[in-house]
Amino acid sequence: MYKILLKILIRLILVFAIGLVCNFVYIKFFYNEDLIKHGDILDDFNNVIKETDIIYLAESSNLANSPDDKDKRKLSEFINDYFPSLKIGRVNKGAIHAKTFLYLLKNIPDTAKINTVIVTMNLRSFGAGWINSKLETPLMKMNEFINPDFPKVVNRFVLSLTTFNNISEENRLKLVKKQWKKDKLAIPNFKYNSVYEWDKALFKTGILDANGNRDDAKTNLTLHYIKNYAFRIDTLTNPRIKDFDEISELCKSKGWNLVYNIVAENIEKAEQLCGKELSDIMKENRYLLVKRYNKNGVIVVDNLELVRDELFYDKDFPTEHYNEEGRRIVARNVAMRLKEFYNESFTEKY
Amino acid sequence: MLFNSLHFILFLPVVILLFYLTPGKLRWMLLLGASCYFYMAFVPAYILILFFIILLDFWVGIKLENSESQKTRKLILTLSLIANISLLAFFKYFNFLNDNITALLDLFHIQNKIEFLNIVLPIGLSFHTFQSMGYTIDVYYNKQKAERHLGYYSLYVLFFPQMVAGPIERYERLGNQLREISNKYLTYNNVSNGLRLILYGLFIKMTIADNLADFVNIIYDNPLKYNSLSIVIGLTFYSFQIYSDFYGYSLIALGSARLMGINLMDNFKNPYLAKSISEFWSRWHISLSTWFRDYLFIPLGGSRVKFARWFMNIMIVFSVSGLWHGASWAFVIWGALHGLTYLIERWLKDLFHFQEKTSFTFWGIIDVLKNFVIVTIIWVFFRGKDMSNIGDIFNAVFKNFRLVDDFHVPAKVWILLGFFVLSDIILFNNRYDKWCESKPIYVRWITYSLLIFAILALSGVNNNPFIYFQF
Repeated sequence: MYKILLKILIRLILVFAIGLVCNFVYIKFFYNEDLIKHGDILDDFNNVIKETDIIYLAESSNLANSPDDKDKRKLSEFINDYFPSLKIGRVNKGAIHAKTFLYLLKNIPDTAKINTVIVTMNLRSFGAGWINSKLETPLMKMNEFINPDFPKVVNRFVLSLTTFNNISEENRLKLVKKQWKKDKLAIPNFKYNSVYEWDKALFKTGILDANGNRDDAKTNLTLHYIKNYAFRIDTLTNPRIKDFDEISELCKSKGWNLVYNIVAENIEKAEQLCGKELSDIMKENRYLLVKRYNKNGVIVVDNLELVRDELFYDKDFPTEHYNEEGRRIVARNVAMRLKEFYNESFTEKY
Repeated sequence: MLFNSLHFILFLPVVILLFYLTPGKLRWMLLLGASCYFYMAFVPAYILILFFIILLDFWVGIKLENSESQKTRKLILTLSLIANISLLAFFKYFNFLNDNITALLDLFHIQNKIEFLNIVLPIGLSFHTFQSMGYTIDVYYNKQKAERHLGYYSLYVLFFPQMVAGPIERYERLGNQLREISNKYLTYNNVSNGLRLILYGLFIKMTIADNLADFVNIIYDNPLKYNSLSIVIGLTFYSFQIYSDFYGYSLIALGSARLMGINLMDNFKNPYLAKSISEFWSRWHISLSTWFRDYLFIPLGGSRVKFARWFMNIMIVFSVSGLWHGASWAFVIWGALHGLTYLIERWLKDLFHFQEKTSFTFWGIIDVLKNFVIVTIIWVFFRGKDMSNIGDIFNAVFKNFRLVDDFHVPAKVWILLGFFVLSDIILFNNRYDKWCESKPIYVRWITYSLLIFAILALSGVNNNPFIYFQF
């Protein structure tokens, strides 16, 4: 018995040693190529973080610009204008959310000079549609690959396992529908109890134009608004809440200033198309987030109602894509709050 | 649950540990519970279909043994076979049949009013039904005693390492081993050989099949975009993809069972080193080819019939084998082409009195290559999405004739493929676990290290499911 146990122990040690060597060889010869393929965002992040005072993490709201803009720079660059002596580094990728931001922040080395983190908080990312989005599979894979909690070769291995919610489009839609049925809207005196009911009823009747004909474009846009924003954030179960909680814990432990930047939504359009019921839900979700994270000592910049309808340049889908003026308005709002940390560096720009 | 998932990596050690900790008499319950859990990770409700098959054939087995009248026995077996095949037909072939009826009625301008079914094929249904039917046929021919313990019989059909993609085991082999599980002890030999099989299986599935799959998918998604050389590379890759995918699965199945002291049959023996189609089929998916031989070819009369009948028997067996794989004419053509090639080979052999060559001589190698090319061409009918896609593949080979690889296969993939081909040659008529036993410890550990590194760092990342799971 003793002999067998010893034999097994020696082999376990050998396997562990092989694992270490594999990790070394992998990092030395294969990691960089994989990083570009599977975790390009970390590659960008690593390059940015070296010489940054403030890091700005965002989804497409910091990528988009309108073809009519004279100044096509990003929102974070407009913020940087207010603090010319500081360097605001940005990392952005369409559809990413707090989970990715969390993993990126965990990758910051202790030697980095960064002292403030600005994280975009997109209301839609808390909804079932985004949580179960088809973009989630590649995002989850990317997150696993950049996860700093495990050796790099282990992350690479996990990537090759069928671990992710690699589900068919049909099953994904089923999952979203199930959640839309389950989540209650809880709007007093409102005839629909869930997104599912609201969406179904409106799809059936449609929105009519002045002549009484169904306006398909307007109906579709309205349905998009309902499906994207009509939900109540459940702080106990929502995965994004968990991620934002972890981010605030991490920043606290590292001593970084943290700013949650609630992105501006087209509240005007939402109310115009879907009624006060929808805009109220959006505002209540915003209050919930502001209250929750202010309590944790995080600065929450509330941009939700800041941008007027005409400053959003996507007209057939709800997005957080603003034209130059819209970006400048949001940038100023964020800069005014950043001033609390960098008063001496602040320059009134616009 | 897939073998290449985190879920299985956690599931297997827990089951093995519990297996050896559980008192012998209760082990069948543990394995049955684990097998149900394993299966229900796919679509939980489909376990009911399996239980239906199990209860039916368990009852049929006992009835067959109890009945003395040959007429009654024949009737019971016929009913059982009809029930099994109907179930398979309903889930797998209903839409195919309906499609053909629609096409036929269209010729007479009649509308087919039968609705198409929107159902998912229960994973591994073709495997379960064949394994179960094999049992009842064996009992009918008195080759096998009827199992009278429902638990052991259920475990025979549901045994998790081989339940979804084989090997299709005979009761004589697997059932009798399961009967003995109470006497299994943890031995170093079983654990080390089991782990070796799993390691090599994971290597060929995750690093060979999954890396090649990316290029194969590109070719089949849009064949006309690529030139001849790229298509030829893609087709060759598919030959290796399907082999390493299915062989990888089989080895993981063999290894998982071996950890519990159970030996499953070999499903592959270096099929691409075969020198003829008949030899290929004695090396490829052996459990299925022997099933068709024993339960279809021989009952049809086998080889001891007149030439025309023998010819027909061969074509029937190969075509049915094609249909077993999938509900489309392309699969039937795939099977029929194998049958036809087999017949042509036999005819040429008789005509010119060809002698069987050994594999590793000059002419032997030429035959191996010739056979590989034939099998690779025929695979197009297996992999093609539909007949138009298959047509596009062949068109692209001749129309876009350019001998430049616009595919850009990375050196890493070529090296891995080369390593796999070399290891297949080294392991000719052997298996990795057995090969290891005859090698010094340092050689074994060098190969373990290489395989572990390849699995950890070089596996494909697009999570391709096992090809044979769809059958």
